[in-house]
Amino acid sequence: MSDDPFMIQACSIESLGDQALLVRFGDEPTRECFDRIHAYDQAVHRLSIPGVIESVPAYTSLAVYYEPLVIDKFALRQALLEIKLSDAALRVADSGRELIVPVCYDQEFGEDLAYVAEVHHLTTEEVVAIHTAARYFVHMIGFLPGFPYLGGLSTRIATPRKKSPRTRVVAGSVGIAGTQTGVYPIDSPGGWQIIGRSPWKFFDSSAATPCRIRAGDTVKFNAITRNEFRIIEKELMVCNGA
Amino acid sequence: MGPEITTLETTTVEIIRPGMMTTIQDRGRLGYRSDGVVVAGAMDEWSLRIANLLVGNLFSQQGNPAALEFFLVGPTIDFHQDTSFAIYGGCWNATLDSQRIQCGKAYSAGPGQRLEILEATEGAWGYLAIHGGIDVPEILGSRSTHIRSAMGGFHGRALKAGDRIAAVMNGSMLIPNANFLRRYIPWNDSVYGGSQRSSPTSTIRFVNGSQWEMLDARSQEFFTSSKWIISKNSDRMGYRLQSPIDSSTPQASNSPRLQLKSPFEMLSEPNTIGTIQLPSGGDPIILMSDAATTGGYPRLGHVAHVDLPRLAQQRPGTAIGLQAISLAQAHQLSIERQRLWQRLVFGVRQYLSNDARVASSKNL
Repeated sequence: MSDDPFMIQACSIESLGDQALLVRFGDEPTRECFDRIHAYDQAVHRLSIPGVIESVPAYTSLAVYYEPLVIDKFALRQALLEIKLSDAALRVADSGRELIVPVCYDQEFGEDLAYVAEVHHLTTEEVVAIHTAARYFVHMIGFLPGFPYLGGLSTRIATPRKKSPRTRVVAGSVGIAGTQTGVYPIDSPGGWQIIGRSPWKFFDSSAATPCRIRAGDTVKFNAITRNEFRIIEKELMVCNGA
Repeated sequence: MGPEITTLETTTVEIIRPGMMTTIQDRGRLGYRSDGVVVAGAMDEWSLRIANLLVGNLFSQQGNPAALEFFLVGPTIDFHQDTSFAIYGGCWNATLDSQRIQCGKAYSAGPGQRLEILEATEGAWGYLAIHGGIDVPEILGSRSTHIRSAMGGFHGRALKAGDRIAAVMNGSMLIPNANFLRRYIPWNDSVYGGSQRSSPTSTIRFVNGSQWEMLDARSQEFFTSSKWIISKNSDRMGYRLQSPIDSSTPQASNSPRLQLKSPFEMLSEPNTIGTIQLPSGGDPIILMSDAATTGGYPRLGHVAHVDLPRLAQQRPGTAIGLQAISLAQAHQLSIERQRLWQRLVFGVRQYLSNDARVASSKNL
């Protein structure tokens, strides 16, 4: 044993189909959990195990995708179990930025805002006030290109997903699903309760950094009027040369 | 100029009629799922591989040739240079200058020739491979089109009439041009390693998912014993399954077919292509090539990797069965599939190693 390494080991490793393993780090998406997952993810990258295709960090877990014709599941599992992280490795580079994201919560954009308000016996204004008051930590990017999963939603407006997903949610839509909130970066089907829309472009595959928001960032929403929405939208279109 | 010279240069094809959902696909965009970038890629990767093999485009660690993918109705295209092409995946009514052609076989085509791929008589997804592979810029390591994020392929969208796309000889070809035209690989269940005789209902094998044990016993039994209809509301993102009982027993349709022992709201976790998720509505969805990288519905299972191409080829409205297998069995199937691939490649290599001998041989 070297000088007191903080032994961080996965809580459990299970299969995610026949081409991925899922390493679980706990049940709660805490900041500590985030740091452990990302430190572990970096360790997986450093190992560059032949047959490992990629790894995807999530709230409380990390998926490691592999090619079973190259690496045996048991060998991979063993390699993952042997990863131990020191205290230093746990101090993930503090690169998180603070972003203020403009959102218009008008009925026109927030199709489910009234529903969310009704469920919680609140006015729509109260839901907006609660949603804009918090600072949200970006736990992960996933689901769609550039989609940020934000933690820190008030339980006062936490609302289950829609029973049947919508076939189309417009890019920029801000939604709630359970205790999660997030922004749809592109048009997509989706099951989140939509409460507003941002004029920002959150994903651009031609940009040097396609994702506007990164895991580790902190996001705050700022309520804007429909008029302000149109102005920002127009400015962005000019910037993109459209 | 002979065809050997021409194929070293760009060859162009022009879309006359686009067909349905015609996009450029390779095996997908791997390595960027942590940015939420969807894998995309061919719905039936196995048929994509064989289509490419038929025209000498080799799949390898480095080689990831792209082809045109289409759904139920194929495109009509004009050739502007000499090249070779093959159609694979499903069975299609197709003509070259109004002459009936076969799927599973490479053909030569030259300037002014028109290829019409009409409707599929079997299967759902077809692939048109062109010698050299479709040449569009690689975005994040892949030429696959993901329409929802307007990424990859031809300007990130489905092809339209008037689009001109190129194929380029990139040096990674398996076989020289003109030598592979006699190879015929018929498309049927046996090409996926199944039996020659096709059964009325395809059985799709899966391994259990994290929330399988959360299904009540009745639901577990129902899941694997019922037939499931591929909903018309299915697409490259997911195949929605419906129970055929829904329509015949209206009173029962009020309660979901599949029920968890207790309500469960989970944090989003990474998905795989093939993840069988259960939205609270009670009808499962199998995630396909355009699946989101992560999702928050409970996972009943994950379709065995080898069965994804077969599943993709089931048309909307057809019934499938679902069979649980162990992880070890799934991996064994992958090994067998790889052996089958090696035999197919070997067959083509051997066939071409001695063209004169092969030309007189009937047993290949």
